[in-house]
Amino acid sequence: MGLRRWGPLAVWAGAFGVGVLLMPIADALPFLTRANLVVFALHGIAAMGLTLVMGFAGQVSLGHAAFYGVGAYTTALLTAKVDWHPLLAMAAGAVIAAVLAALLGRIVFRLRGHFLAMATLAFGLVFYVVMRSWDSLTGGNQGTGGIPDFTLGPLRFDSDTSMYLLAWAVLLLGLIAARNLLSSRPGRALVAMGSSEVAAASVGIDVARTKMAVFALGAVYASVAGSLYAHYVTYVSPESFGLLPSLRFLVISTVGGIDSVWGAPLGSAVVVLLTEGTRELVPRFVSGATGSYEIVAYGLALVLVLLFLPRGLAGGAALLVRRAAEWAGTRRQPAPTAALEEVELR
Amino acid sequence: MSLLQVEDVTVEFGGLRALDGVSMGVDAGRVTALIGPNGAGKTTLLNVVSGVLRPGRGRVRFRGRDVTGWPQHRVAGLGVARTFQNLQLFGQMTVREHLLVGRYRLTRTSFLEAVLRLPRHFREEKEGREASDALLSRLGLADVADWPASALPYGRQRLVEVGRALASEPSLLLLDEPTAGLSGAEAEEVGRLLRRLAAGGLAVLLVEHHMDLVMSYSDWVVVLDHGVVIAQGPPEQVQSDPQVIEAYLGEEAA
Repeated sequence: MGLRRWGPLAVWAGAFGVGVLLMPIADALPFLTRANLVVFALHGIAAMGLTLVMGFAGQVSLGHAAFYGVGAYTTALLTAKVDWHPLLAMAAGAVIAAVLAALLGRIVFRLRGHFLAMATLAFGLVFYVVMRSWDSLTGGNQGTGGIPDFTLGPLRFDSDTSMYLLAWAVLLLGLIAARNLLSSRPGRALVAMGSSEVAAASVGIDVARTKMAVFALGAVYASVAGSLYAHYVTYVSPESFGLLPSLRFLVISTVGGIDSVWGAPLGSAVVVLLTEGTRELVPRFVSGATGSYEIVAYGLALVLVLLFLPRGLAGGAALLVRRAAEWAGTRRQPAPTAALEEVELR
Repeated sequence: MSLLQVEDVTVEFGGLRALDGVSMGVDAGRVTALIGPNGAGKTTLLNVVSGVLRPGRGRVRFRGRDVTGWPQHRVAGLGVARTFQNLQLFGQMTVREHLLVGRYRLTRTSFLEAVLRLPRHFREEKEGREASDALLSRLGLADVADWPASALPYGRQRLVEVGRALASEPSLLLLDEPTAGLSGAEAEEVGRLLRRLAAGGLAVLLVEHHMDLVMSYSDWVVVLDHGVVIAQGPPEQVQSDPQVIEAYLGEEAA
């Protein structure tokens, strides 16, 4: 119980420490830049929202980047054009994302499986097209810039290092919030619903409403990450919120594992390394190669994980820990999970 | 008036009439058994009562209130709990967590209260834990409270489902073949549990194939055949009803 409760946070703290040590030398390392350490956290936060939606509401979303975009654009417009405080703009983005998600959920959760996936895909594309076409508001294809630094009282987050600290702090808050949620009444309702909707409804859980709520929560995670992203790059354009970014979040969540809040950060680390790796390696072997080869790497990673670790890296890690605990404890007492194998074999 | 009243309920699937003008009642403090050959419509009736299915015709009243066509979660919110013929446990959850989920209708902690760990969360968790542990002891599941339910042998998994239903402190409990796959001794155990629950004032509606169990532990038996109630009454009376005997023998001959 103790390990389950605090283990992930200890791992986070360890990874954070490694990040701090890497910060000064990151740019000199292969496959890594300081920016990667920031992007890792931003993608991790957004994907954690998707993990909640997929893992617990059992709903695939192919439009998650749109909510990332809602946060980014709301922040861009409210801080660059009308000079709102970054925190207020971030909150506004989160509210807009939540309302949009709830409305979308009301409509699309009547659909199932492929149809639902298509509907979220369509939503993502609509968002992309609107951002690209609404020139007067969003700057169209050119995007919109001049986004000020994120500030918090006297603190100004204007460098890779300070953004690193901020993004990782928010990632930690996201982890704690998700963990708190899952070990409580509404969180258990989510897990129950993801496992059997008819049984969840039989104890009084309003499945439709709960799905909407988790969809909205997932959108809030994405939106907050998007707001931070806007401050970090000081400029947003539609390309960052289209289909490929949505697929990237899907890959992060799936590779990391969708039944653990810990999956998103793990998956995000893998995707950052894959992206940088292909970007550096492919041109070395294929002369004149340009373009987004990372999508090939995403695809490969996805196939490999689904084949060998269907519950993702987090699921695989949990299995390892349990096996190790069983191995260490076999002499003293039979572990509860020992019976699991027997039942499954039957 | 009965706690649960089913009036003239008819359900059709395509052209097939699964239930045809079924009327019956379930009283508090009694075990009412619903029996009949395979395909008689027993599970369909449970699905109508619990809100999974909307009947084409007829009414369902609970405590006199018309709940026909209400969604499942609202019916459950009134205190109607059920188990499933094919187990519907929650994947990775422990036995205790199943019972905590069962308490959903009795608790109020919201998303925000849970994330921010506001006082209501701690109060309800504490109450939930105490109530669940007491129920686990009553069901003989205390020793496996922290096991994943999926790791238990089949018979005890069935008991976890009953526990999840009881955790919601229902006034009507619907059980869909709770002894399927259990040994004779385990089934007897379930029977004794049902008697204790009924003695405590609970209304139990039991769908069951296990005839010995029905005859020894129920107060009232309703027999369905091809969607029609062909007999009802106390067990000994139903047992000797020629129509009932024919329905069962007819099935065996087929």
